[in-house]
Amino acid sequence: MPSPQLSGAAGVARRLIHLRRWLVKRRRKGQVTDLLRALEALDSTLAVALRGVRRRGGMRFDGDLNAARTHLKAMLDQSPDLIVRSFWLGKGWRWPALIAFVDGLSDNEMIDQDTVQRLMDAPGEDPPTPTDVFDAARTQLITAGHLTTTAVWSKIETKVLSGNAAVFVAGNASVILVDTVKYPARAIPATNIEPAVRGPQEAFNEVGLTHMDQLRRWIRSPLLHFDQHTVGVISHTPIMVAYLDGIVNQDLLARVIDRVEGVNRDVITRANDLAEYLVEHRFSLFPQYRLSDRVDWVARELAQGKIAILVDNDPFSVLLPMTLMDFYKTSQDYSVSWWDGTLVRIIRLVALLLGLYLMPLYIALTSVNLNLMPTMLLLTIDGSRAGVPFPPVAEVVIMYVIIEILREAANRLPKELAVTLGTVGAVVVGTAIVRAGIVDDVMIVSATLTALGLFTTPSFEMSTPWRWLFWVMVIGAYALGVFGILLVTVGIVAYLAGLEPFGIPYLTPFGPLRTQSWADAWIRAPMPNLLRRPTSARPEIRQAASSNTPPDRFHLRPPKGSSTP
Amino acid sequence: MMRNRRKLVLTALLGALMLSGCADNRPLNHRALVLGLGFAPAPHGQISMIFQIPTLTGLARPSMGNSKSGSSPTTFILTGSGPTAARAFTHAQADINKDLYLGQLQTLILSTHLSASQFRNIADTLIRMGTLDKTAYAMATSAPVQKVLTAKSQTTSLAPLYVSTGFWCAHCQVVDLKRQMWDVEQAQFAPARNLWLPLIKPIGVGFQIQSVVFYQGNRVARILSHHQTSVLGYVLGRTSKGTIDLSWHGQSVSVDSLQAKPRLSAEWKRSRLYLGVNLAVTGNVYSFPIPLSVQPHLAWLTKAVKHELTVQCRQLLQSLGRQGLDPFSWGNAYVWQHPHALKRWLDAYRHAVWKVTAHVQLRQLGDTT
Amino acid sequence: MRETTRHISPLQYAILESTAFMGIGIFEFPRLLVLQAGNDAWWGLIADWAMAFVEAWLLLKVAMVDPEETLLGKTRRIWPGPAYWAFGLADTLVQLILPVVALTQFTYVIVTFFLPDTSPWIIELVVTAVSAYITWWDLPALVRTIQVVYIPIMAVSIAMLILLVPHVADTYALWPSGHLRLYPTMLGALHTFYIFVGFEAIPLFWPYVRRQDQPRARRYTYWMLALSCLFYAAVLAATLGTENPWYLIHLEWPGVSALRLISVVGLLIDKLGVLAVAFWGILSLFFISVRFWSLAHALLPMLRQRTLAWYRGVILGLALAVFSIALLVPNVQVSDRWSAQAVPFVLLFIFVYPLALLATVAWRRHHPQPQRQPPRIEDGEGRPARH
Repeated sequence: MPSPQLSGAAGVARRLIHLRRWLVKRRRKGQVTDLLRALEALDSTLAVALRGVRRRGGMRFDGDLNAARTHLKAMLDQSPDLIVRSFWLGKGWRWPALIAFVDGLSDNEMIDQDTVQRLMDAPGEDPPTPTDVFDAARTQLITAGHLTTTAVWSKIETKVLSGNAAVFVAGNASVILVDTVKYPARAIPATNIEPAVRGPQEAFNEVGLTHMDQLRRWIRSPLLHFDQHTVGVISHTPIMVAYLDGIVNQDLLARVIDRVEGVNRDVITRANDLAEYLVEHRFSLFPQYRLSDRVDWVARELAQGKIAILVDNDPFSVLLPMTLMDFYKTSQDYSVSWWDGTLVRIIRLVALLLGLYLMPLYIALTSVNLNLMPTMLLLTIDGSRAGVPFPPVAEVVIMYVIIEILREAANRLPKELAVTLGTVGAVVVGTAIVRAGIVDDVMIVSATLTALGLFTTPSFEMSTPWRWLFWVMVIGAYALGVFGILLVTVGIVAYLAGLEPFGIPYLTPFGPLRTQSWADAWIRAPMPNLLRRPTSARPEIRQAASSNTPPDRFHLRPPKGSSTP
Repeated sequence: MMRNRRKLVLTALLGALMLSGCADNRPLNHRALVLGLGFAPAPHGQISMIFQIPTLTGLARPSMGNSKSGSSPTTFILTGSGPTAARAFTHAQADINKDLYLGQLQTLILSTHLSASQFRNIADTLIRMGTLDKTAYAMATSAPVQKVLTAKSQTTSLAPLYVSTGFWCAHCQVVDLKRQMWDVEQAQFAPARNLWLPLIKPIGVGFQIQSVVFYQGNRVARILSHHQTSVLGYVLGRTSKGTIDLSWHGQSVSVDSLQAKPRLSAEWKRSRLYLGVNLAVTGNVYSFPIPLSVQPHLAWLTKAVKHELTVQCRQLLQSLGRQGLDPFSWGNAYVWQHPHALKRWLDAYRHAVWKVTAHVQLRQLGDTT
Repeated sequence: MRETTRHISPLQYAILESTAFMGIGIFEFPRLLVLQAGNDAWWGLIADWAMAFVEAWLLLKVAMVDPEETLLGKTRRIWPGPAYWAFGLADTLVQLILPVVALTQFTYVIVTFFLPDTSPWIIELVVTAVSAYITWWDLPALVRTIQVVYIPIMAVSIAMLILLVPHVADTYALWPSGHLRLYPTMLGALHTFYIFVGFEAIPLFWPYVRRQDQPRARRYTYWMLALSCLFYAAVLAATLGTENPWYLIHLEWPGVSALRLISVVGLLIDKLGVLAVAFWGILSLFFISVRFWSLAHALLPMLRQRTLAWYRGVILGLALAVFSIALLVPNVQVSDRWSAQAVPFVLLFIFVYPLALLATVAWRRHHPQPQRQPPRIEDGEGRPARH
């Protein structure tokens, strides 16, 4: 049974959370911060006033350094990375103090020079009151940029474990939390997952703060907002909901924030853990969010009115809402000429169609609807199949399974070995299997095209549904031929049409038809012609640019007075 | 969880059902691809149905090209006979362990010796075959059908493809005599019931398609000679590479690449039918025996070609008309507008007055040798 | 956001209207027209066009009587009591027969040209299942599916008709007769009017169009109808020109027979025309789906249910019913007979019903009388709610 005080506090907290959400929705976030600061100051004053009255060993630090040391040591069970050090504050004061931090997560230089040394060397002779010492430490001595104060143990623990240093002053019920966070982090890497021949190459690393800095460099506007949340009851994983205020759809934002706050799990370690909580159609075959580690791409999607969720410790941020078409766009499409961008997108479409339909069509046209195929081609296939003991469907299964195995094996091996494996797969297995008479030559061609076709999908997560649906297509072709393929196609379209992640039709801009958004769909129009944001994310402001006519032509003339040789 | 399990069971059921519905899934090597299909009369009033099916050598041939010409045959012949075409098909099917598949049929060869009722029965059977390729080329032959279907070709790797390769390109032949099974079927229901088909003849190595057979009421009414077929080509606008040889003061002059576009007109005058064919003819003259200025001899040539064509065309059309043979489907057009006047039309057509005019335009290309 | 996706755009509305009738007659057209009207077939088609436009005008008038209300809602308000039930049941019966006819027609086309050894019931089952599946997520998803597939199908169909032009040999048949025979022409027109059956769905979908979009939806409907009329005219020309008229009337599916002549060299599938037949089949599939939705829409208010679970239950029940009835059809001739017998009833239904409804509304407007407010359908719009 919770105590009445706890229930009361929980009620107050709930009301505060509601108040905060309400204010966030009405864009009065500044007022929230002011309110929280005032409450914190009030809390600290009350803690000092009630010192000694409160029960010892409770949820708050009460100024007793021994108790604090015991609490801290008990927290991590003598873990060697937690450093707790006692020292005298002030040369003349010799006031007992304690500092706690986690070795490896904190910047040693900041702790040594900006905190401990400054506190130990504090001038002054007369013994002051604990409050004076505390105030002096906070306002004059510690030179680190960011300080907060608290007395609540849960907050102190979380902060220390995330790299802050906690400074305890004997007799004072408040603790100074110095932002000394310095994670061991990778340097800003180039993206490997979404490579581009041209254009920006920068990717996120694992540090949440760096994510924000990187994005700020791309969008230097106060409109870029980061809403910080913590998910994971145990992991306390910080996440940032990034969006462009005024452009993002407010309903969408509120819904995403609601869902983020509704995540209740002990440990969240990666972006995908969180993203799977956010979508409505959890068993859907098709991805409803995109994970990207490209900073430029995230910035571009934010500019389209989408939302990015940056998760600490994961270089991939969650982008949503997404439509089917969004998974076929890449950063490079915009880094090259629009002709090139359009061409590669059309190739992606053709590759998808080839990958999905070629082998099922092979089955349908060689087993069920033989009358649809040109005679010469049919005779060629018939000739090449002479002596093959398996029906076309078995050939397809054999080849496709081989491709998938080779693919998975190549993924698991180091890069250098993967190349060898590719060669082995392509040359040795391919040639040998035809020689052995297990499959025919035409099947090798179509299997290769299928594999290439399905893997040209720029977004990794989008190739998976098609690889699954490929098998459904094979069953349709096997049973009912071309008609079966058509039925499966209609079924897939119906399924896609029924998907509405975050209330946005997944098939936009083709169903519902939004011809204005076609300029950046399977074709990529020149940048000055992309005047409006796509309707898919329902942005508050559709217009992204004002109309721009091509500049007037002019002719360069030689400067006056110059003479030609 | 329960819902997912239900979905899974439903999917499995649907998958199983789809797999059970694969009665039509018969892989390529379980089917006998019929490339040529012939019909000929058999003893005792029966119909003989002859199937031309590629052998393994024949199947390997298109992918290998002509370089490897082995001695083994590229096709084999399967024959079935019966009182009806359907029965003949059944008998043939009983003699082979593969499914006789007509969806890739290239040529349909009809013997000119088939009786009208046999012809009708064959057409009826073919109409009812759902997967039969309606675009297969239809031809008649006065030679034994089996001989046509076993003849070899020098120009095509697989003999059955000779016809389809030839008819695929309309301008590759002197006269485009392409007729498809569709035309045979259609003729069964047209009021005038006229049909013409090209006549195929096997020669040493290869084929000759230079004549036309006219059917009336499914009976062979007339076989045109090679020359008459060329003339028919002009009036039907199907000639691409016509040639007329003329004599100028004892020396031969030839006009080549003759093409004609017909314009038809029909008129009733005092219950008499006047049928007009106006030909717009073009052609090339490469050389002339005597180096004269262009204009006079071109005028002479034009006049001569015009005369030659109009006379020959009129003669052919008149003789066809007297037999009630109607290559233009004029009768169908008339009966469409006058549904109950078929007999009147047929009478009038037999006694129609034909007027053939030609507008000839020749180009002197000069001697380039 | 949910609210916006529940609505359909004017274009979607017009496409939905088009699929509501195109799937049933596309295969059989224009056999009956040429059989009855002979060389007056063109005049017969024009008469059908005129009737279709009058019908569309009438039904749009009905739709606008109370733009936010569905057809059943209107009926209930104008003729409460037995008339509403009678209308509802008649509507249900007619709408149950139409998908059966479309299903059997399409099944036998597939069996004849694609899968000769497959049992028709398997195809009927699969087509019914896919039709029900398309309808699973209610109207907006259904419309999106139709929109995505319908436009390419029509583009392919038009391309196929263009490819048929070189095959037109009987040009004489393209000319309409100079001597109009009224009786056979009207007979042909009446028997062929099944190509526009399904148009009575106009008021059914109307409340789903946003109020501000409704004038545009009305315009689009007329345009789509005009395009459909042109499409049928092109089919008539293509079939008359490629098949002679006497052969045409012997063919069960003249359009399919004409398409089989198309062969494009250089493609993986060279018999594109045969493939187009399967595409036309998808139109039949959509026709059945739209009927399922319409029927569910008619039945749910009668059952006083509006949840998605009930909606899906009704869809499943209807699919089972249509499949079971289709099993009773032994061959395509029986299906033809059924459609021939259903056409007069449907005509009565789609002309007399709107006229009577409009007359009642007009009469009441001029003779206002105090009367009790009839109960409205639970959800106010009679459509099943989503989650």
